[in-house]
Amino acid sequence: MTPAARLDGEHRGAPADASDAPALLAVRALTLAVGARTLCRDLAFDVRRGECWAIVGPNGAGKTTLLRTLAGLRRADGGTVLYAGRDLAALDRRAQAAQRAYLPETSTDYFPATALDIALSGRHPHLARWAWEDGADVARAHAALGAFGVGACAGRDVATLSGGERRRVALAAMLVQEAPLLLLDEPSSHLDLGQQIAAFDVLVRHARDHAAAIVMVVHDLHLALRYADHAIAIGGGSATCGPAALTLTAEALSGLFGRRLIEVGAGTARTLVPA
Amino acid sequence: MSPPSTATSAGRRRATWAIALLALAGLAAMLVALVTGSVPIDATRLVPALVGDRTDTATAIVLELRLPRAIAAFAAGGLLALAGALMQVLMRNPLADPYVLGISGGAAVAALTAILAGLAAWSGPAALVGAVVSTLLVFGLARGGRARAPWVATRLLLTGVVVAAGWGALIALLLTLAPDVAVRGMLFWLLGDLSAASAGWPAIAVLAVSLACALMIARDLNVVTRGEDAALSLGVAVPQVALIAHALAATATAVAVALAGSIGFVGLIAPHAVRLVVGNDQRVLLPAAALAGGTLLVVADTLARTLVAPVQLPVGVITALVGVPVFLFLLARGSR
Repeated sequence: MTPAARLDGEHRGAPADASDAPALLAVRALTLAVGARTLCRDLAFDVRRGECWAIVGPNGAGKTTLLRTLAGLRRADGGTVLYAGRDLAALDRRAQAAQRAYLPETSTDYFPATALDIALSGRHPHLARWAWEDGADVARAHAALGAFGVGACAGRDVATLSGGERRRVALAAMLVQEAPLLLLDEPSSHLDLGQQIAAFDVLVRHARDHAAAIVMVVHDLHLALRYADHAIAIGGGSATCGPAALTLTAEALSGLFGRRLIEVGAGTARTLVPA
Repeated sequence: MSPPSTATSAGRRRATWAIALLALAGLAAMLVALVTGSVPIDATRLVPALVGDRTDTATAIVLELRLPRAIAAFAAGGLLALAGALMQVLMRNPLADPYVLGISGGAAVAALTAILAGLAAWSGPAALVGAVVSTLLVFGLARGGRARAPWVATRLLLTGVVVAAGWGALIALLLTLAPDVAVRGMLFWLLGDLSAASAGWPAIAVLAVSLACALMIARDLNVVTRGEDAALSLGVAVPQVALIAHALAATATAVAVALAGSIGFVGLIAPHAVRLVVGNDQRVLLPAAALAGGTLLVVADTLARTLVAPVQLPVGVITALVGVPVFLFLLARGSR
């Protein structure tokens, strides 16, 4: 049994450091299954304001399934997901959108749209039925596009953007939604090394400034080690979770990926690589 | 090149202008339709004719023949364009049309059966019933017995295509069995023909109500074009919104088909062409497409009854003759 798994056992009850406010995201006795295959069982954790959680695991382990369940895009196969103490299943879509933003693994554009249109769609849950986006909404969208370095693309058709630029437009739309809980599925995909760090810095700064929390699926263990303070390791039909220092270790993850991992580098450049 | 967008003030001005110009074009097309025909009516006599008493010949022609027909044309065109715009969002395909789920086939089988039975006057109501039956059939089959499963666009599309093929076979069978005298009327119905359209005003009311309902969910539909997960996470109750949009599109198509037969291409071309000008914001696109579709069909019908007068062409021939090259042009333009 890994240290992380033991910690998971302790984590199942009320967290020791529970403050008065309910956690932004609380998961209780969560079971996930796809077809006859169980992805995880009895998972429990609390995500609090200011925290950054990484979901790591091999292909097909259920990372995206877990994230979509946390986002309310699919039903939990057992257990409950709570946003700020309220059962996710009891919230209507609009109330859910006020609590969490979700970045899908890929975005598909079926119709022509400008980057500004995409960013502005983040305002949808804030507007009344007959209301139009006003100057303040447009200013927010421009600011978010600028923060991710795609301000110059605002008027361009997203179909003409590169994969990396399109990804950053989607990230901008997510910030424009101004939800306290950010759920991201591989936010770094399509981004070059420099843009990965730049984009994560923006996300982490946004989370700190707005008392938001981040839960993200990441493949790159360097990014997980650099930015996450907690992690969920999912694979082989079970999941463990806890502080990054206990979950994102060479020992814990070697078993998960079926390959011996060794730690290299130091400080922000620390990562795990296959031996 | 940047596509038109309502996010900028220039884009909003452009959209306002486009809608204003389309409304004017619609009015102009109406006026031309009223004064043109085998008995030309001087434009200066139009106003007296519209308010005059019915014993006057000009008044009788305008009020009893041309006005109802022009109103019916506008309503049918507007309904088809509105339905087409909605189907394009629902199928997430800018080249979808109102008949993509086979609704016109069901309407045609019912209408042709009525004509064959000697009840040509009942072809309209019969078409309405056929359209509703076909829609319920497609949606029932696409769900495939899984009571709580949502309707998936690809599954609906496949079911619609196959059901439409079935209706097509029945239509061919009816045409084969029909006596020669009935075939002409049946062919006119199949191509779309406004010469017998009489329920223009009720259809205009249906157009106004369905457009208002569609505008209520227009911003939701904008988000739906970004994909289902994106829409759900932005707070849109996608299954409910899609159900409303499907119901509106099916109603609009059924009423249009009951009014004037299965007129092709208006429901495809009007929303697509309007999108090139005003962009894809449904709050602008839906009313603009309805105005454009109505205007197009009024113009097409005026041509249909004047081009080779005294022979009256079915309006569907005109829309297809114009629609095919326009569609191919848009397709080629889009793939570049």
